[in-house]
Amino acid sequence: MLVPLVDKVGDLREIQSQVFEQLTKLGEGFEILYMLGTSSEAVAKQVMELRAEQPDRVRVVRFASPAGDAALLAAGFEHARGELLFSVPPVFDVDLAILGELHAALEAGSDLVIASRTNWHAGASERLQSRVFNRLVSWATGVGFLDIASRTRAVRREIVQEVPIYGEFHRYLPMLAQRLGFAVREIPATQHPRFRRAAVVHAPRTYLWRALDLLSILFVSRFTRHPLRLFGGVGSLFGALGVLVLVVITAQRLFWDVPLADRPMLILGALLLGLGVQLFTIGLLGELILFFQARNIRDYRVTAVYETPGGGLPAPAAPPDPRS
Amino acid sequence: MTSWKAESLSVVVPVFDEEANAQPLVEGIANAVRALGIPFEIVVVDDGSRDRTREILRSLTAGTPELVVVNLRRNFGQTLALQAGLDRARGRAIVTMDGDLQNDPTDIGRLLERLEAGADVVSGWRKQRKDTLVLRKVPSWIANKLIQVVTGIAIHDQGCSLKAYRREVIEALDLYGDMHRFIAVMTLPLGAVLEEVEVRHHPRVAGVSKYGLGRVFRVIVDLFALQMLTRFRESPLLWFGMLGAPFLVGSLAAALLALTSEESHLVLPTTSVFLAMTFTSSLMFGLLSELIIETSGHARRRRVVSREWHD
Repeated sequence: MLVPLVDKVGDLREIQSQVFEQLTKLGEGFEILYMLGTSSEAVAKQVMELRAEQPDRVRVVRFASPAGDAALLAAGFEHARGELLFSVPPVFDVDLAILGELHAALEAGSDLVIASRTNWHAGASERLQSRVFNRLVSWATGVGFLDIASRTRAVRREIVQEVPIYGEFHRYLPMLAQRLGFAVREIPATQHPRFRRAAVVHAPRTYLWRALDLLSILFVSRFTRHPLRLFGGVGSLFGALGVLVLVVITAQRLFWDVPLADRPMLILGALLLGLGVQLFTIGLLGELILFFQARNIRDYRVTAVYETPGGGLPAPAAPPDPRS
Repeated sequence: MTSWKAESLSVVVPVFDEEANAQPLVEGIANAVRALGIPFEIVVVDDGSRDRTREILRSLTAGTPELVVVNLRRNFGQTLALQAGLDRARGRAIVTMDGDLQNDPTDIGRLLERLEAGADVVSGWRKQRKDTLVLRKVPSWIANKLIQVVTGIAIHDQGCSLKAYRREVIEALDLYGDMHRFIAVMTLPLGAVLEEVEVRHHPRVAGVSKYGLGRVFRVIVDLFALQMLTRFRESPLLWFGMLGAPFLVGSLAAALLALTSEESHLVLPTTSVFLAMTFTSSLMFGLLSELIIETSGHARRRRVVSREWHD
């Protein structure tokens, strides 16, 4: 079963025939799902043609308005009917022969497999960029993956049911899955013979997005249950600096008769102290939200319960509904 | 005396890589609790052990019908493992303990006696602690002192895992993050009666300890959060207002100075404005807190464990 996305579109017919070839080799039933998140009529027409040719194998999910990768993937996972879900970008990227290996890895017990593109001979600048980004992400999450941005992946259905995908989070799916205890593997893939190199330098907006993304993943993976550890730490630092500045200039005013009222340092001190207090209180607010939502949060995942039938204690009667 | 009875008992034990201890642990608990003559269950939570703990526990269920093994997908840490166990526990009384055989299951009977005598929470006190001094005892001593100073509660051994609770207390408790360290302290704002009972403590015979020194900063931060949450959650606006008050005073003072000063500077009015902004944002945070608490539905739940006393 397979889920290619449609935004920047290459030769779909060629991709589809290769995907068919690979999936047929696996000897299991499969379907292809196209998620149409673009307003381009040409693409829509191409997809509908493919569907008309093989209506029992090809399904199309169409969005009313242009949608991003995460929304498309989430919709695809929702509509797909198979137990194993493969995703493939709609352009020539990795050599699709890898699908067989991904499938084998899932069969062997992995829950999520990435076709990583690490050994590719792309341009030096691009390689540097992707290496820096992946390093930063693995530092932020404490989990080392070589190529999280690869869009060729295979997952078990359970994962997408448990890991919420929103925003740019489909990219971080491997980390989030690993955090919930799923087995994640990476398999090096080779380049597709018709792979065309993408833009080497992106728009500044892309880098800004990535940086903010990184910040959010850092927060999500490390501090969502301990906000005060982050904000309290940074806030205390600023606050302490502010106090230091204020103490020094006050001492100078008192003992060395340096006038206080016209010193810009006064503004700096007040600003640092205020910033520190604000950061700290944001952390406290985070703890407050957690505390009052703790009842709804269950971060652990149970795989199995072993018990003797009739052993242990009987389940207690359900407590009365407070709303009644 | 109250008429509360420990009609049934759940013993909750989180374990992680304890293959050498699993069997004596389960047998020890089963023998000790069987002697008490009440229906019971032993909920062992396997916190993603990488050794043979899981298979050993599974085979033990055959000979011990009271054993319930909850397997977690990976190692989630002690708080979550404990939470998983508490979520599964069905007894009227709930006892938690460590899986490393350092707690003595024969102490459970005495903890239950105190519960029946009127306590809501009974915490073990390892008066004669059998651990290494620098790595375990000193950080623990510092942590206990900190808790005593910050919360004002005289508790000798907050870190002892052997504790007994009435079911109502566990149901009213909101655990998150690493708050298992303060689980006894967290029950106090609920109106729970807390007691300490001396318990035996054995040196570790098998397996390795899973603690380290690096937790002091985290304990301090968590403790501060806990203190704020327990003491100020009834009136956060007031609390945040108090936090911002010095900034308001500073702002007014700077404004006054700027108005009375004969020369005109830019610095004083700017400082005044910044301080006023900090005060305002503090107030806003207070309002936001009120909103969060209001919408959480917390007020509707039973917050206080209260009961009638019959002397």
